[in-house]
Amino acid sequence: MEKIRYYDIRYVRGTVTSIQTENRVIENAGTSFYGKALFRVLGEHGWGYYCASSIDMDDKKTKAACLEKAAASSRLAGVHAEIADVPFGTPRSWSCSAKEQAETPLEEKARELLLLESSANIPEICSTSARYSEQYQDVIFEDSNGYEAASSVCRTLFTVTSVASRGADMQMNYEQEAVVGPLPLAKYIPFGEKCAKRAVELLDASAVAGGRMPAVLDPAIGGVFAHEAVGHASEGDAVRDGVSVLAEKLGEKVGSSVVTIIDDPSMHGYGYEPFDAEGVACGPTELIKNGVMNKYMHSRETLAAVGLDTGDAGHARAEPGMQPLVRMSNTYIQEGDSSYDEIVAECRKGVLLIGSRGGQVDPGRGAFQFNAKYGYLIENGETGKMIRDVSLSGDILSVLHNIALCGKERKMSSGMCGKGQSVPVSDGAPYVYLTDALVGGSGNV
Amino acid sequence: MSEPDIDKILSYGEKLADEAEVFMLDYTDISLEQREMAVSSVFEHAGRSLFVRVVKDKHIGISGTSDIARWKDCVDAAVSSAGLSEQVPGWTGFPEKTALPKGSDPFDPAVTVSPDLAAEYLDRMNAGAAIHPEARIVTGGVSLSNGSATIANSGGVYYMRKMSGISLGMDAICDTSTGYEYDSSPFLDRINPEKIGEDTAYWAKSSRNGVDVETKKYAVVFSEHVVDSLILDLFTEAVNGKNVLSKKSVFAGKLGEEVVHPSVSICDFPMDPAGFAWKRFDSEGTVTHDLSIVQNGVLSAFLYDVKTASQANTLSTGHAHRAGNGATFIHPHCLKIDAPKADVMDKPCLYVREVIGAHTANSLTGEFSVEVANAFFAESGRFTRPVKKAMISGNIFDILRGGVSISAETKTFDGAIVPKMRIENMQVIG
Repeated sequence: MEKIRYYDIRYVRGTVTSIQTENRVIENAGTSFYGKALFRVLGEHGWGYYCASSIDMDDKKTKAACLEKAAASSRLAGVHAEIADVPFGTPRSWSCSAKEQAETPLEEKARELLLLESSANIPEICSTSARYSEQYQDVIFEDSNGYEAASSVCRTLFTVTSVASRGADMQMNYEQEAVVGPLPLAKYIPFGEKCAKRAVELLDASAVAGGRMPAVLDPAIGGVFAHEAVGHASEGDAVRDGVSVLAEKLGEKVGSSVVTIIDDPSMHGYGYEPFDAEGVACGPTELIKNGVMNKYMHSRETLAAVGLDTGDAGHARAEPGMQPLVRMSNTYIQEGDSSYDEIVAECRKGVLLIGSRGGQVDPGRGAFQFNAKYGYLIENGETGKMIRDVSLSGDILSVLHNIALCGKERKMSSGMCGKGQSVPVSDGAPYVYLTDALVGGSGNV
Repeated sequence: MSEPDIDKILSYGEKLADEAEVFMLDYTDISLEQREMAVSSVFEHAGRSLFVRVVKDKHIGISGTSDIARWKDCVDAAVSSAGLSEQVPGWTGFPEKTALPKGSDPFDPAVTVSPDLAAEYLDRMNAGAAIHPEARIVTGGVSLSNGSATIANSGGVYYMRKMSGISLGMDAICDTSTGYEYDSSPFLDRINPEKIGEDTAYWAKSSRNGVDVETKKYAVVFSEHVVDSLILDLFTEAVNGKNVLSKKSVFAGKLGEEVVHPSVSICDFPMDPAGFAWKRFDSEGTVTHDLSIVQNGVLSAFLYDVKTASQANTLSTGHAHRAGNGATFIHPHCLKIDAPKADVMDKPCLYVREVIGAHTANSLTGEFSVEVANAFFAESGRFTRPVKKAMISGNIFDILRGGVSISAETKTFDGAIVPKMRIENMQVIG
C-alpha cells in the first residue's frame, strides 16, 4: 500500500437562520442545520478527497474509515504534488461570535426587517422585498502532523430591494450590508428608503451610448475591479497553470504607480477567516505594490509549485465539504491622495460608475466585464445626467496602466465569490480615475 | 438513525401541524480533475439532504439539514418557522396522491459512480482535444453521480425519482486566447467526450489573432450557450409566478397580450424525449404537464408552485424546485423556443459563442451589456475572422419583440432545448 504523505480533516458545522419578507409580509423564516467533513489525503501521486456528512470528530473508527476512502482516491491520481512547509501563524481574532445577535428573538429581528422594508414603501414603488440571514459556523481542523485549530464565526447580512414603476417603465435597486459579527437591523432601517429613492430616480435615468471614454469608478465598482480583474488573475493556481495575464510578471510594472492592491484574510471584513482551509492564518498580501507585481495568493501546494518567494500561503478557501481552492478574502485598492472633486474635475468628460451588479473575468485572456448599478455623465469636470444599465469592460493590464488617480477614502462592500464554490468576500477601493475605458450601453446619451 | 424513516418524520410533523412534507435527496458522486494531462485529484462524496415543511393554520414553515440524525430538530425548526411566517391566503394544501403519468426517470444505469468510467471519459476528451495540438489543455474534469429524490407528504404522496448524471468540462489556452466547453446529461450515450475536447481546443486555437471591431449595429448570431444564459434566463424570470405576484416582472398583468413577435412561441415540455429533466412530478409532488407559455407571441401562462398558485387563485403548474434551505423556487423543466427556422449563419454575421457577464444583465428590464468571448465574423456558414474584443448591448424583450430566426439544430441544457438565434440589428461596441 502506498503511503499517506499528508492528510488533513476539515469539519464544518453550523446553523443558518433566515427571514424573507415580500411586500411587507413575512414570506418565510426559519433555521437550517448543516455539517460536512472533508478528508484530504496527499499520496505519492496526488490528492484524494472524501466528503462525509456530519461525523463525530471523537469517533476514531469512522475517521479512519473516511481517511482510507480518501487515501484510496489518492491512489488513482497521477500528478505528483508537494506542499510548502509554512508557519501556521496566529489567527487574528475579531468580535465575531455575535452572542447578543443570537440571543435576540427571531420575532424581534423579523419586526425590524419589516420596518426596514416598509421604509422603502414610497410613491412610485410597486414592490419591495427584504432578506435577513445570520450564520453561525464552527470549523474544526486537524492534520497528520498533529496540528489542530478551531474557530467560530458569525456572519450576518440583510438585503432590501425596491422596484419602481411609472407607466410601462420599471426600474429596480437593492442595498445590502453584510458583516462578520453582529448587525443590529434597527440601525439600518433608513436603508429601505435610500434604496427606494434610487429606484425612483432610475426611472428618469437614460441608457448610455457605449464607447471608449474616461471613467471614474466609485468604491464599490472599483472594488469589483480589484477582486475580479486583479484578484482572480493573482491566484496561485491560475499562475501555476499559466492561465493568468499576471503570471511570470513578479517585479514587473503592470500598472500605474498609484496602484497598490492588497488581499487580507485577517481584516475585519466579510471575507475574514481566522485561518484558511489548510489551517494557515495569514495577514495582508500586497499583490501589486506601487504598480509593480509583488506577490501572488497561494495555497500550500501552489506556493510549493510556483516558488516559495512568490507570495503567501493562507489563501485557500472552501465551502463546507469541498476541496480548498486559492481564493480572495478581503481585496482592495489602497487609498491615494486625491479628493473626489479633484478626480471628477480631472476626468472632464466621461462617466461616473456607481455600485456593482456583478462582474466576470477571463484571467487567461485578461478580459473582464462589470455592470454598474447606475452612474452619471461627467461633463466639464462636473457630474450631470443620471445613467443606467451601464457596464465597463477591458483588458486587465491596460486598465491598470490607465488608473491615473486614487481617492483618499476607501470603502468596502460585501458579497459572495463563485469559483465553482461560493465563499463570502469583501472588496473595496477609493474613487478611481481611468483615463480610458470601454463603456457599454444600449442607449443614445 | 442510519436510515431515515420518512413515515416517522411525517408522523412527528403531523402531531405538531396540520400538514407535513418531507423532501429527501440521496446521492453519491465522484469527480476526477485533470492537470498536466493527468488526474490530479479524485473526489468522492456521499450524503443526504433532508428538507421539511409543515403547514399550521395556513402558515408554512421550512427547515433543512444535511445531518439526518437531527431530523427531529429539523421538524421542530419548521414548526417554529410556521409560527413566524404570514398566512398564505387561499392555501389549497400540499398535493394529494394521484396516479402518475407514464414515463421514465432521468436515470441511466450505465452511469456508475466509478473512477474507471470517469477516467475513460477524461481520456476520450483528451483524445478529442489532440486534434488541435496548438492549444494547451489546462484543466479538465469528469463527474459521475447517481441518487434519488423522494417527496412524501401527509396527504399520501410518496414518490421517488431515480437520477443519474455525467458532466464534463475542459478549458484550454492558445497564446492568450482561451476556450472552454462543458456538457452534462443524465444519460451516458448523449455525451460525446471527444467532441467536447475537440471544441475546447478549437475555440482556444481559432480565437487567436482577433481583429478590431467597428462600433455599429451588426447582424449577430448567438450560440446556444448565449441564448440559454442570456435570453432564456431573463425570460424565465419574467414568467416566474412569484415575480409576477410581487410585481417584479415586466409581464405582470399581460396574460392574453402580445408580448413578443407573433412568430415566436415558447413552451415547457417536462418529459420531452430530447430533454434532461424527465420529471413526472415536481419537488412538491405536483404532476407535471406540457405548458404553453407564449403562443404565437401572446402570453398564455405563468409558472407556479403550490404556494404562489394559491396566492394567485390558480393551480400549480408543477414547476417547484428546491433551494438549499428547503424553500421552493420556480423554474421550467425543459423550455423550447419556436420561431422561423433558418440557416442563421448563411448571411454575414457576428457569431458570439460566449459572453462574459451574462449574470449582470438587468433581470427586471431585460437590459444587458456584456463582453463577447470566442466571437467571429462569419459568412456562408464559415468563420472568416476572430474578433479581438467587443461588447454587445440590448434588451432581450426588445429582441424577442423584434422577431428572430433560429437554427434547426439545438443543444440541450438543464432546463431547456436551445437553438442558435440570429438578431438582425444589435449594438456592438468595439
